[in-house]
Amino acid sequence: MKLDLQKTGNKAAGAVAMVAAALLVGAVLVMISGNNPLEAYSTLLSGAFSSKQRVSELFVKLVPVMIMGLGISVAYRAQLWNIGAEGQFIIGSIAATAVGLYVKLPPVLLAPLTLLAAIAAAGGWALLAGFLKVRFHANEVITTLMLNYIADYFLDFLVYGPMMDPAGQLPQSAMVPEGIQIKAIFSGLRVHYGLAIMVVVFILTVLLWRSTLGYRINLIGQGERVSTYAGVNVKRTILLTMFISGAVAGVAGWIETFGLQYRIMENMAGSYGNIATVVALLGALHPCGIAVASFFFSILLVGGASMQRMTNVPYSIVDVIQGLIIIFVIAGIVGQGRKTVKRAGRIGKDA
Amino acid sequence: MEELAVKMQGITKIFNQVKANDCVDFSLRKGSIHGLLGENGAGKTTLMNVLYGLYQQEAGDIFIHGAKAEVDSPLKAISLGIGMVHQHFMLARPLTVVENVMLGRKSRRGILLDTKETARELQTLSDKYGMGVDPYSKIWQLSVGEQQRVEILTALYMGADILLLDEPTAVLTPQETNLFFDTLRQMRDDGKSIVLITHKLEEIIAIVDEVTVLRDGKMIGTLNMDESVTKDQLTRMMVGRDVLFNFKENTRAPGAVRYCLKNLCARNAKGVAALKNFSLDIREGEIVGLAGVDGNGQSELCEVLTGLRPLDAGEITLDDEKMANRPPAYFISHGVCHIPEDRHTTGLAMNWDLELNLILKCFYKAPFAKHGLLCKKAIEEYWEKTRAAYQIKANCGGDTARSLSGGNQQKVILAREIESEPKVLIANQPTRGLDVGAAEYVRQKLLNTRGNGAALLVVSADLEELLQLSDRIAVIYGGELMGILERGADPYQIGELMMGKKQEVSVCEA
Amino acid sequence: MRKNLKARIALLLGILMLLPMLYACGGKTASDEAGESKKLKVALVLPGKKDDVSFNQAMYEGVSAYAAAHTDTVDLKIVENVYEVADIEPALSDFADQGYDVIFGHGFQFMEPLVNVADKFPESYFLLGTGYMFRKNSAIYDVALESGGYLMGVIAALASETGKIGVIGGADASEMVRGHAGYRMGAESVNPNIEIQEIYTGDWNDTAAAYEAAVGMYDSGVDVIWHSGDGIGLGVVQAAVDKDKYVLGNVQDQKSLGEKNVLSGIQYHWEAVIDQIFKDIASGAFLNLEDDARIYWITIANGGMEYTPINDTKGKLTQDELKTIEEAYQKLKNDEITWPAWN
Repeated sequence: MKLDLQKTGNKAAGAVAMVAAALLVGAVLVMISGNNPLEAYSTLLSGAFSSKQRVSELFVKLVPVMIMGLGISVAYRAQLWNIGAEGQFIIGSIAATAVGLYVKLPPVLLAPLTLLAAIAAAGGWALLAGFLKVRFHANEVITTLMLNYIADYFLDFLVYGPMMDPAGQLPQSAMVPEGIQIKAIFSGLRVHYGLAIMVVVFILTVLLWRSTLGYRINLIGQGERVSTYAGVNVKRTILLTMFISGAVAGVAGWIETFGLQYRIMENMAGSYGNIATVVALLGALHPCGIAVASFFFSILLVGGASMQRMTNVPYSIVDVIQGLIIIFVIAGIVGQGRKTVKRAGRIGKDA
Repeated sequence: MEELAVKMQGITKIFNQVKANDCVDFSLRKGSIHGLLGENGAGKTTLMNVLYGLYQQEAGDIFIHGAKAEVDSPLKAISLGIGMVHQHFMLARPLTVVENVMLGRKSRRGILLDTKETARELQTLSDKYGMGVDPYSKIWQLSVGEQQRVEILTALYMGADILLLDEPTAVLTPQETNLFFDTLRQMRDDGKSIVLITHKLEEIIAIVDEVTVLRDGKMIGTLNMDESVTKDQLTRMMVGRDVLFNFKENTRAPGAVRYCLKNLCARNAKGVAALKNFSLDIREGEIVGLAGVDGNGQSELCEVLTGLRPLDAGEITLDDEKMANRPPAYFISHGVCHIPEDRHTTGLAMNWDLELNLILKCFYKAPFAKHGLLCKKAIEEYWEKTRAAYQIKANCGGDTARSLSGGNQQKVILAREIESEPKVLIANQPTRGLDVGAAEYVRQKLLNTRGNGAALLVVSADLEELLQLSDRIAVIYGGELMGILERGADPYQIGELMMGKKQEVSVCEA
Repeated sequence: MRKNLKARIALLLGILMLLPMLYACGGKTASDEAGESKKLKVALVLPGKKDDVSFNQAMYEGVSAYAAAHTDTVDLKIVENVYEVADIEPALSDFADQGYDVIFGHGFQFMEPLVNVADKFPESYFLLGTGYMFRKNSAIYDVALESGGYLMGVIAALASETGKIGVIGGADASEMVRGHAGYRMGAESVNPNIEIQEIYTGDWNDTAAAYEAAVGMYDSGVDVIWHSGDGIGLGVVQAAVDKDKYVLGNVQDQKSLGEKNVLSGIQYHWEAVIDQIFKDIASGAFLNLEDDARIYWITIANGGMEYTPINDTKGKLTQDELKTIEEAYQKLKNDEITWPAWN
């Protein structure tokens, strides 16, 4: 029991150290840019917290980041390096919006149908990469990345072409009917009931890791040989894992579309895909870790934007911090891997 | 007083607060073969790695030929005339012997390679000790025994007069071992000093001049090997207690055929035929030992018999059930259990909790899962129960499998496979890398499983072990069954079959 | 132990999430106070860089000039690169939330977020750079491009030797259409037989497409092109440089992009309407503007546009022709041209 505690503690300490180091380097850069880092960071913090408006924005960002982070973590647990959350998010949004715009049904039926469409389309999009991996041994890093581009350009095609809002000249679709939009929680603030869905996704993820399905997914992350040996159908589990991972990203897309923009538009995924990846890794693939990491990144996003608005510190600092955290996380993973290999080597020799 | 080639004094080496070597003294006389005996984890390899400069000792001094030496790297060790052959060979497989030898040093012809010259010198060395190594053959074409000789040759070529050999006979057949010992004696007579790391008592008695015994990182003593030293004496030093060497004869006779293998054909990972028309019956309450030099189709056979490898042709029948080419889950659910050869990649998820490893094949069944959710409490309880029953030395079920010693890892696998009350148990190298105590424990458990009526196939490179355990011994060579011998067979006869000489007498059918 | 740990993590998480709510309640008074400062707080949100030699720079210079002239009453904050649609609404509402009185959203894509935020913050005034939607507390500033286009048409037709001129636009938004119509009128006013090629690339920022369109025109014998876009302008000017032909700029003096090839161009002066906007706000008239007065147009007549100095490096324009250009300019300045009815 004690050791286990240490393990979790170490991971948390590691994550905190990485973030601290990234903030420190960021501070140096702020200084180089001729600003006061203390002032910059305090503006960043107050920029995320100091008004209802800002806190509302914090949660507006938290919803997609955390949901996508959780979705990605499902695949990562199985050592499936799905970096296609962005594409899955987009495809999910497109499918949901298309259903919302073109299917004529009462809202009570239409709303769940749009959600199902998002899940099916985004899950299917990720499944494509899973299928290519299982069938042709195509590396999922490459395929999911490429599928991001396809999704991106497909979105562009739609919003400049067949789905373009007839009422405007902007690259965006028409708005989905008001009856199926996700309502804001407080009037005057953007934060919406997608927050509740985020909590549901969080709980479902926690439950997943306590389920036999979660056991299977975790197991294939431990190695194909041992999984096959245990009687697990590795290929089927890979496909299922990719579907779940993509479907969750699709849910994020659905929420973002129906709760915030009410339509699809060019560049709608922004940098959520990348951030969600970092969040999943920084949170050590643990739902609670991901929640904390998502929260931290939402602060960076919202606070960073207001910092840029209110001081002369460029928003690039936030990008730098984000980039540094990615590097530290990856260095940590690589370092851990090397340590494990070294230890394995020693045990092998002594055995 | 003879000159000492190596003198190590008060060597202490600590890993993660564990003393792998605790104030160990060790002396190697020049021109002698010195056995380093001990169970696994006793610190033999660690001590030699310190001498070879792979590890730095926390305390203690090393003297080479009487002069104090700081051996801080293998390069330094080589320059001091020390050569080491590890258990796992460090050879580049696509390259030739001579290319491998040249990898580690500068060419004498500047930027050009001095391949021909080196090859000639290697040939001379090889001839001198009767090793029969062709400098131009590629490593992958060589047998394990030949690869070992290449390693030794490389060390000699580098100018080693002190040779450290880590469990060199583990991979050899009895015939090869004898040849190998001849080479060692010749090198000793030539003035080389040799350390032989082993846990096999027979080898100590057969070849060694002196023996040092380690236990739990401590030096227990050094003996001059003369007639007065007995196996029992060495065992006591090594284990610290008496070990039962003869199992109680299991009186129960084997019953009906349980696992029937007919004309099995399969290919290995490279697509080359690895099993050729292999047929064998295993009866309930029977242990069939499978002897053979590593890499002759044993692993493929075990995989085929557990659904891990597809079968090209042939039939597997479990009682009345056709099993060929069913998925692994089908084998598992029909009571075919498997102790795999490779604990690290197959038998265990090394970075996973022990308690999760323990339910690897039954995690979806009650009481471990209810309504698709894992039942933490039942899993923990089961772990505690099993840990006590199998005396697994571990802190808690949340530890990773990696944190355990090899013996305890094997116990986890054993517990998992045996506790599911197997109809058939395929055990591939179940005691490899285990110390004497743990190996005994595993063997006893295998015998108990046999006593419960399971049909067992035990693959082992340790003939001694097969002779002890098996009701019958089947010998495999090049994927073919060479013959089946009844209990009490002559090891030399087995050895000949292992070398590919087909049994002249017709195979005795059960 | 492990369960404990999880519970503790969950608790920590909960507290972390609640914290901002508490903080928000505490922080509210601070922002209220900030809102009471006497200076008019003005925010300009630009979609691009303030030195883009085009759309953003023109507005940046316009607002900066006003702020510089009124340092004692105006406090200006400028934020660049708010291009992603997802970032626009939070940026606008954060400014309003922080007590900014006048907020400029400089671009068509700001339209919907801007009217949304205007609804939520009735105390602030919002200005939209081009578009058609507005609220009681918001208005639009736009360019009546036909007058500038007319002048460019005159210059192009006079400078052309081949009798073929071109015009390249981004999306065919109404202001562009009007600009191109003006261009045609201007060109035909000096050469009724002129051949005019017209292309819309369909995208505001696709420099490559604009470049190719321009090269195609030049290759077909066109020797002067005017571009009516912002991002696309860079592509057209580059094509002119590569083909060594004349090009007419838009929005901002673009001579620096092609010293030998930028013949002239339109220079916007948003100051022309910015002054009026602030006056209307100060007097309270802003809130009561008629719907059709809710668009502040810059024209040549109100000083919102002029042409940049003729840079005739190839010597294509005679003194007489230069005079004709100046006359046309004066006519526009005096608002003597009758425009067709725009829809």
